[in-house]
Amino acid sequence: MRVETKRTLKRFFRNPSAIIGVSILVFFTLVAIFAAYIAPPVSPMDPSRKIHDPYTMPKITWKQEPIPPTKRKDAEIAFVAKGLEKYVRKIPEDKLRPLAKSIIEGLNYEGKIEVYAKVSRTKTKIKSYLKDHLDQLKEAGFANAENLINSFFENDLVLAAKRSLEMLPEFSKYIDNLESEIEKFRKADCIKVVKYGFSKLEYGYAMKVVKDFTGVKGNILDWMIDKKLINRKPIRCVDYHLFGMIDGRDIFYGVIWGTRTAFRIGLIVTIISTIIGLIIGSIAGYYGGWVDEVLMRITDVFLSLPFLVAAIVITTILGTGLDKVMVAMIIFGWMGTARLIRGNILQVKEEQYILAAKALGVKDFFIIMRHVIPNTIFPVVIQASMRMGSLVITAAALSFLGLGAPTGYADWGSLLNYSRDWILGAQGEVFKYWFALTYPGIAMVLFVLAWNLLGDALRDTFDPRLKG
Amino acid sequence: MTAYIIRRLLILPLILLGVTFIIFGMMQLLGSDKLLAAYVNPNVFDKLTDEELEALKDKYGLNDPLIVRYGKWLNGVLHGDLGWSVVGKTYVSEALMQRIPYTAELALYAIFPVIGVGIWLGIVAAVNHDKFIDHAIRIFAVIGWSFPDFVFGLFILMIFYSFLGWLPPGNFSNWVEDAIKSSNFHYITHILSLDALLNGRFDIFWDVIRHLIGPIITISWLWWAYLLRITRSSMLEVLNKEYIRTARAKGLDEKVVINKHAKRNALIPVTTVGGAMVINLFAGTVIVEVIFNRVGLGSFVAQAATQLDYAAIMGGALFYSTILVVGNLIIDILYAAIDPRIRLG
Amino acid sequence: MYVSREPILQVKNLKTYFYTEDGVIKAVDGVSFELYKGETLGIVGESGSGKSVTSLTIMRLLDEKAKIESGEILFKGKDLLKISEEEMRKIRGNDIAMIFQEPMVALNPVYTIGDQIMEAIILHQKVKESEARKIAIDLLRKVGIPEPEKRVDQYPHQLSGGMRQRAMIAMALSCRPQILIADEPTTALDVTIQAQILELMKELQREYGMALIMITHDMGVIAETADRVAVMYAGRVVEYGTVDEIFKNPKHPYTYALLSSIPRLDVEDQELKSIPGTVPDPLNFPSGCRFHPRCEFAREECKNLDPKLFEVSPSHYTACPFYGVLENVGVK
Repeated sequence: MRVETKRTLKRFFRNPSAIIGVSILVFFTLVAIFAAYIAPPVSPMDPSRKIHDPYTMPKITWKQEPIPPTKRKDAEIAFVAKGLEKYVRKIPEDKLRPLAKSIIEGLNYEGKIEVYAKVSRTKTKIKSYLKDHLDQLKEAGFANAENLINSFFENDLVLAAKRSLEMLPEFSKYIDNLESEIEKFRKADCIKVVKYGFSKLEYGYAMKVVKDFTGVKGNILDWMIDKKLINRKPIRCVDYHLFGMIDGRDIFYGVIWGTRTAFRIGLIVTIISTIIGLIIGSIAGYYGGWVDEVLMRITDVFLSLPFLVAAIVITTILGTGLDKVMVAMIIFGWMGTARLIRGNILQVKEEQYILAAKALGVKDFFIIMRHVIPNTIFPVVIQASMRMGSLVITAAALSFLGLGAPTGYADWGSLLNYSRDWILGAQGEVFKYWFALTYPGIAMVLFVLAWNLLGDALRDTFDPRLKG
Repeated sequence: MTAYIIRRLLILPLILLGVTFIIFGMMQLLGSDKLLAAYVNPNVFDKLTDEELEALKDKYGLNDPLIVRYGKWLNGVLHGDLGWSVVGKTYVSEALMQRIPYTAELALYAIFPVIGVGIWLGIVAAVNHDKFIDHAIRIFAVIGWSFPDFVFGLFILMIFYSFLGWLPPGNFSNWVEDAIKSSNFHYITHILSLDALLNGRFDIFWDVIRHLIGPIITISWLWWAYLLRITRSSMLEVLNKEYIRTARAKGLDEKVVINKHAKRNALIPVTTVGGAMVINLFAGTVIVEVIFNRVGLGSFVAQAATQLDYAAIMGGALFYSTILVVGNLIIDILYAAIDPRIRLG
Repeated sequence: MYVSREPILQVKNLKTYFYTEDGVIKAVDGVSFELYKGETLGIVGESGSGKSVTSLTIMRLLDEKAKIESGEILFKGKDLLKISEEEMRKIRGNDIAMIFQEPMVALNPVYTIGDQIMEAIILHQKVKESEARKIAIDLLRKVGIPEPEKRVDQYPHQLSGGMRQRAMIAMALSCRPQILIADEPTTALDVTIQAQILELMKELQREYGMALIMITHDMGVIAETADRVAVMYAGRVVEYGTVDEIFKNPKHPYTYALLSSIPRLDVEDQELKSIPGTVPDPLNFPSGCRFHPRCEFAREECKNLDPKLFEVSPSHYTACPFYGVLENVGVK
């Protein structure tokens, strides 16, 4: 038996499909584990982070011509006011609570920063938290930050705008920093893809500024891709964003963190639906008779809805979100395993050694445990690994249709959804936005390919029918 | 054989009933408030007091026991009343009827290349087992199997529409729309390409076909991969059978062995899969129709889903599952008819 | 029965190896024997001893994984391993025919019995379909299938196991082959039917004057049908002689062990012996004499024995140089 196992393993690892599949999966696993190091989340997760760090400033692209000095002041004022206005509008009184909640949950999730956990759900406490950090803000050169924060939390738009004007001197410094960034951009010869100017910077950027001023951030969860620009156009600038940007978001970040999403969806759905299938299939196969008949007809009913359509129906009813997608795929994903297990049990029940065991008076339960499980575990594992790929595709397809992951979620399907509007390219440059489709696309194909190759190799190794 | 068909025919309505129950049950998860919203003008809805809400729920029977509501709903479905579609701006049944010909057309044209080429590739791979061509076909299959249709479709659009300008998205060009709306274009089958031929309008026919090629290529790769894998393994299994050895021992030419003895046996199980595929082509068109911006059943359901048009989604799901159930029945009967072991046994 | 001394088939030092992912399986490793016109040669051995592979090598029906390393198969002086596939195809079914073990799976389930018999007739005898059908019905009648006119249009699954094997025989005989290879033709059948089928084969052999290679693991079948016997173990012929010599005077411990494990009706209070140990792993055959780990007479020298046959008498050969020890034991 041990020699046989060794030989099987040897055969498995000599199979080119297995080698390629396993290596890709190992690669993706490493990427998923070290995502935080490969693509560090740009969010105020770490309170010790320097607030005025130019490298955490948005890596935006600027228009070629420098803005004339006369216009610059207007632009600055307009920019800050507009930005604040939209930001305040974005957080009305009753929404502040969920926002705070999401912050706390997000931080608890990572368990990194205890300070944040102390922040309670009330607005005043957030305010006091910010006040506690006022020193840090002042240290960073924002003398008037206190006023801004107060007016901001009083929801006084006019006052906020006014006070933000008081901050202009500091803000100018901030902009100077950005100017030096522009220089870097120029040197990097990225400027040719850059079409944006100050006046075009809308609240996405302003939000960023306010976030940096106050430390409050909506998208604090690190599996959200930070929105850095309001403009949705794909932008390619290898020096700052390896895979470019789309929808104002870094594609590289999305691809790296999307690995985690893919693993999470695939593993959770596969494991749970396989277990459900195992239970239903073994009950049906083992008891037989009317139990079998009823369970198999129920299985037939569930199989009567096309998988994608079923998933669409459920996500529309439950609402969008990855958890809903997973629920949908579990509800409509167990039938294959159930049928497989039932068939195997029926087959094994007919075998001589089961009859022999029964004749010896061995209890039914033990018979199942001892004989059926070793006989059926490999087909189930093979089927599960084959299903991983198609599950990830379906989840991504739902995101692609706008029914899956919420906007900004680090998910390959969402990234592909953004790129959909741009595949036609620009005038004269058909493949201008190729990267928006290609990088997440390749990640997705490789991931699914790896699972399929693994499943293939497992089947080749363990399915006796195809043994040479 | 007859007993088998009768048994299957008796189970059919049971399964359909189960499907309607699942769809209805899922709809109930929405809660009576949301269900009520389907009946009431949304502007009025927000201003209703709780008492008024309850009164309305009573009026529309939303407070009845589940089974009563199910009965009423099922009665409606049986009479073709699937509700009002916000997206389609018409009755759901009518909206579906408008779109089915487009999806049917796509599926119809996709079937032939998909099944023909898929089976052919599978047989070629099996016959050349472990040779270069087998490996090449297997790689082609596993990549196709792993390529999500929405990614592949977007690449197709990028290359064949955006770059080469050959395969435009949509169902047809603008001028065709005018042409088919004119009074001298007669609808006979409601499948546009066929109608164009029957009207003698080859230009329209060509335009429609041109719009179909992109979606068909997109669908094909995945299904080729699927079908050729099954054909290949079925063929390999058959080629290892003793009766193939018997045939060879008779001194038959290898071509005869494969074409006469192996193929027929190998294709019997493929029938089930191929048939299931034809049915699933209908369901598989959701993504393709969305990508290629086509009017059809799939894009209708997708659109209804994003706009929370519950009645339309339920109607679409019901239609899909009916096709699936009835189609599977037909395939099983066909399968029984092909295999002499079942036909005569 | 007249047995000519003219060999119709000579197998010389045949080696067929399987190259698998786990290693090389030496399924047939230096097998030699002759088949004379009209005689029956029994090849006997446990499963995995290489007897079936030998027969498939003669027919050249092995898959790609198998490689014929060396050896010659001379059919009427022609080396079957050197001729083209085209020529081989003309010999298959026409000159050398084969019957397989499982009549359940050896017939194509989607064609009628008649179809499958007629196929070979049309191919080799170049006759019309109606003619071939007549021949097929005659053949079915000859192999003892009742109502052949009806059976000819039936599918294999509509026939019983014995009937199917009869149909297989009819198919094999359709072109009056000179050699018939029967690979365990009765193993899958009920005992009563086994005897009928063997009787039928003997009868037909006499009628057609064919040479028959009977491959089996059943010493009883050998005793009943064979003129001469080759005993195979782990890819090699370990003993080779006439049926009398083998049964009455075995000169190899393996043959001896095989014979001692058969229950005999003529001996009372017989102690049935089983061969200790298991069939060796084909990837890892023992060195020297491959039977030595299981041999009750094994000595140290057995581990380094050369694989060659020693002559006991002009018609009797054994691979065991120490066959003298068996003299003292005798067959019970």
